[in-house]
Formats: sequence, C-alpha cells, structure tokens
Amino acid sequence: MRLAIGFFINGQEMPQRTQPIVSRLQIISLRIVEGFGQVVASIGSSFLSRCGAIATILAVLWGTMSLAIRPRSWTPPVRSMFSRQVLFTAVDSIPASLRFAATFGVLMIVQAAIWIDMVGISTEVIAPMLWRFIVREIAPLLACLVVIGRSGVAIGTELATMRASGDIEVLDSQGIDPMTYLVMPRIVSVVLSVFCLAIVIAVTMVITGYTVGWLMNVIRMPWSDFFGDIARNINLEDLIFFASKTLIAGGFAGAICCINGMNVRGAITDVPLVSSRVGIKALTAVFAVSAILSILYYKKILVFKIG
Amino acid sequence: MNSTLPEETIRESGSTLSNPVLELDQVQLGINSRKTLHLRDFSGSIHRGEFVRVKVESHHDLRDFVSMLLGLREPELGAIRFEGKNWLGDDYLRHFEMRSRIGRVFSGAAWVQNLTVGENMRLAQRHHRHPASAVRMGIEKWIAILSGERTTAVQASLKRRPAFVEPAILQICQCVRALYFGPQLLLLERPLRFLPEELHSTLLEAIDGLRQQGTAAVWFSDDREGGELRFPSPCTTWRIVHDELKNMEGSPTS
Repeated sequence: MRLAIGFFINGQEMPQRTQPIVSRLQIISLRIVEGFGQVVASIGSSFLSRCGAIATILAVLWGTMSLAIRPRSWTPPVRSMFSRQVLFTAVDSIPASLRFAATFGVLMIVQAAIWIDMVGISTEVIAPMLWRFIVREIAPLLACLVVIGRSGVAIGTELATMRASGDIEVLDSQGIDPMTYLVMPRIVSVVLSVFCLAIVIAVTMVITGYTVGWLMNVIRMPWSDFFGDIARNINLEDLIFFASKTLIAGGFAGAICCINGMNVRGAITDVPLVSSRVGIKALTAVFAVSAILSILYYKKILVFKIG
Repeated sequence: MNSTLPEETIRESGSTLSNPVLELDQVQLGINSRKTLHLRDFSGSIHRGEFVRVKVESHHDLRDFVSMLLGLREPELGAIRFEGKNWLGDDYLRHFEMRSRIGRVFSGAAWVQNLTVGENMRLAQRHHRHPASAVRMGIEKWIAILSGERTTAVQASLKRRPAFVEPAILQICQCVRALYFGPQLLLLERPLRFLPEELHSTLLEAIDGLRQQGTAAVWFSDDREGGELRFPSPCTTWRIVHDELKNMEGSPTS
C-alpha cells in the first residue's frame, strides 16, 4: 500500500522529481496517523482492561456476599477456615495495629500542638477535628495497610501456591467449591478485620494522642473533658463514613488478593511474582476507593465543589 | 454404599447392568495438543458394580483425562455423563454434589498441603455435611481394613501435614479417603504406586467389596503395577494404542 501511494496520487502518476518528496511526506503522515491510532488503541485497551478488572472484583464481591448470606455455605470446614483467617488477620494483627496507631497518635498530637500555637486556637476546637480526621480518613486507611501488609500478601501467595501445586484441583475433585471454601471466608475475614482493627486504631490513636499531649503540656484539659468533647461530636455521618470506608476498602483489598492468587497460571516459580504484585495492587485500590468515597461524600475534589 | 441393587439389574453371571454410572459419548481430548494421552471419538460406559481397567504406559499423564471424567476439564468434542447427568452448564452446585459421590486416588498432587492428613481425609465429607462421628468412624474402620500392619503409622500420620509423611503411608491414606464414604464411582490413578506390596490384594478385595454394593471402578495402571493381581470379573479393559485410548470391551481379564 505504501509503495502504491509513493508512485500514484489520486490515480495519477507523479513526475519523477516530485515522487520521493511526496511519497516520503505521505509515509510520514501515514506513520503519524498510525502512531496516533496505536496510542488511542493502547489507551482504549488499557481502559477496557481496567474496566474488566473492576468488573471481576465486583463479581467476586457479589459472589462472596451471596455465598456469605446463605447459611448452607457455612459448612464446618468453611467455619474452621474462617475462624483461622480471622485469628490470623485480625487477632494476630492487633499488636502491629497498636504500634502503628500509637506512633500516628504521637505524630498527630505534635502536629496539633504546632497548629494550636500558630493559629492560636484552643484544644476544645481541635479535638473534634482530630477525631473526625482519625475516624474518617486515617484509621480506615491504616487498618487497610496493616491487613494488606500482614495478611493480604500472605493470602495471595497461599492461593497462588495452592493453584500452582494442584491443591485447588484436589478440592474441586472432591466436590468442594474453592470459592466457598477458600475465597469467601478470606474476603469476609479481611472485611471484618479491617473494620475491627480500624476501631482499635482510632481508639488507640486518641488515647495515645491525649496521653502524649498531656505529658507535653499541649493538652491542658482533663481527660474526662477531652473524651467528653469527642463523644459529643460523634455523629451518624462519622459512623456511616467509617463503616463504608472500612467495609468497601476491605472488600476490595480481600478480593484483589484472592483474585491475583487464584489467577496464577503456570509453575510454582510464578508465585513470587504474585506476592510482589498483590500488595501494590491492593494498596492502590484501597487508596483509590478511599479517595472516591471521600469525593462522593464531600462532593469535593480538594477545594473544588462538584455540582 | 448401603444401597442394594434391584433384582432386574442383576445378571445370571453375577454382573450388574443398570443405567450407566459414567458414560463417554464420542469424546475427543488432546488431539490438538501435545498431551501424552488422547481420545478420538471414544465411547464407553461403566455400570454399577463394573470394573474398568485402563492399561496405561508409565509416561502417560492421566491428570487431564481423569479431571475430564470429573467435569473439571471440557472435552474438545463429545459428552460425558455421570449418572445420566452431564457436566455442562453453570449449575455448579449440582456439579459439586455429583463430584461428592466420586472417590479419586490421584497419581500426582493429592493433598491440600496446609492441612493435616486427617483434616484432608475428613474435609470433603464434613463439607458435604456428613456427621463428624460417622466420618471419624468410617475413616477408622477403613484404616483398619486397608493398613494391615501399618495401622499405627497411618493413625500417627493423621496429625501431620502431607509433606512430612512417607509416600507409602500417604498412599494408604489416599485409598482410605477415596473408599470410606462408599462412592458411586471410583477413579483410581495408579493406586498401587507407593502402596506396600502386601497391601495390593487387600486394596483389590476392598474395592471388590464396594463393587458388590454397586460402586463402579476405573483402575488406571500399567502392566508392571499389579501384574500379580487377578481382577475379579466383570472387568472391562480400555487399552492405549499409540497414546490413544481404545475401548477393548469384552477382552479377557488378566
């Protein structure tokens, strides 16, 4: 096609001298169009692949929900698997959560102390703001980080190993649905763990923050007033925000870990690849979900109001 | 397991014929790939109490073929039916329920590695809501039947993970797991591999006992495995000629 274009334009043969220049220009312009087409195609295929990935996650979450609400799914082995997973994901993660929460609590109270001095506001004003920030943003995010770092990667690796070594086929052969036995209890336990650990983290951050602030003489009010202020400022919106962020982000994290683990094709040597990818993918999803929920809730992107 | 066969299905020879437990209808597998075992328009059926011996070579990988019989892989062409129902469609609950009535001895990976051997053996039946006491008693009974002098070693292995149990004991446990719930169909991939020689005839007798109660069995082995065994009739043989499975129905039994 390019050769033909090089020698003929609109069906007329070009003079010998103009042929090379015109044909080169045409080839270049064709290449530009081709390149542009390729860029558009790659953007389109990337977008479609992202849509496909999101559809898969939503499908797995829907499947998990529909299995979890059916009492018939909770056979003794599934209950046993669920309790083990909760023990590993939630209970065993409490010490790590406490450490992270305590550290963040200290960091926040230091920041608060700086702002109190700079702006000249009182502790009574800043305490409810801190609490809101903790409940709505930090605690759910921190709980997701702990669960993904500690259990999400382990879940992905375990399922990938089971897939590669034929364990999943062993289950299937015996009439055990891997979705019911392996995936559903893991996702449910991740969701519950994120929710429970977020509560632990929020409470720890506030207690640590108050203790350190009181020791540093930044907070001068008695603990009963401090926590009383916070308690009076808790409203339904905080709880809705907290529950939606922990449950949805936790569900996405669990589903991504399970999907990546179960999708391994090939040998056992492919398992480390899953381990390295699964954490990043789950964290990306958690941050994205958290941001989208905040936008939807506040109807704002940064300071720009939507609608 | 506890079912008795209707009189009209019992032949004079003692063999039984009823609706087939497993049917393969014009099945094609592995023709377009480099599988070591393939099928071309293969048809065959297995009835209650029937024993089918598939003579394979040591290089044949049975995994895909047996998984196809269980509906885990689709044949390229043809249909497979278990108790008159096919594996097609997305009625997965029915498929899982159908598979729960099939016992399988694997020739490769056979265990969930992060569970103990005992948990593995109980897993499927507990998942299918059989009472814990019945499952425990069934396992104990079949360990006593199949282990011979190794009963103590087998019982000790139940608390260990498969990676820490010797192959001979694991193979006994595999046989117990496949047999103890009285399956409708037994798929035995090289069941004598790693099984102590003194237990070969014990296993065959145990399978024969199940056959009397209506279990159909498909036994995959090469000529070297179980060469000394006499497979009780009715026994059909499916042979592999040039890596292709052939139904040699009516051929003499060894």
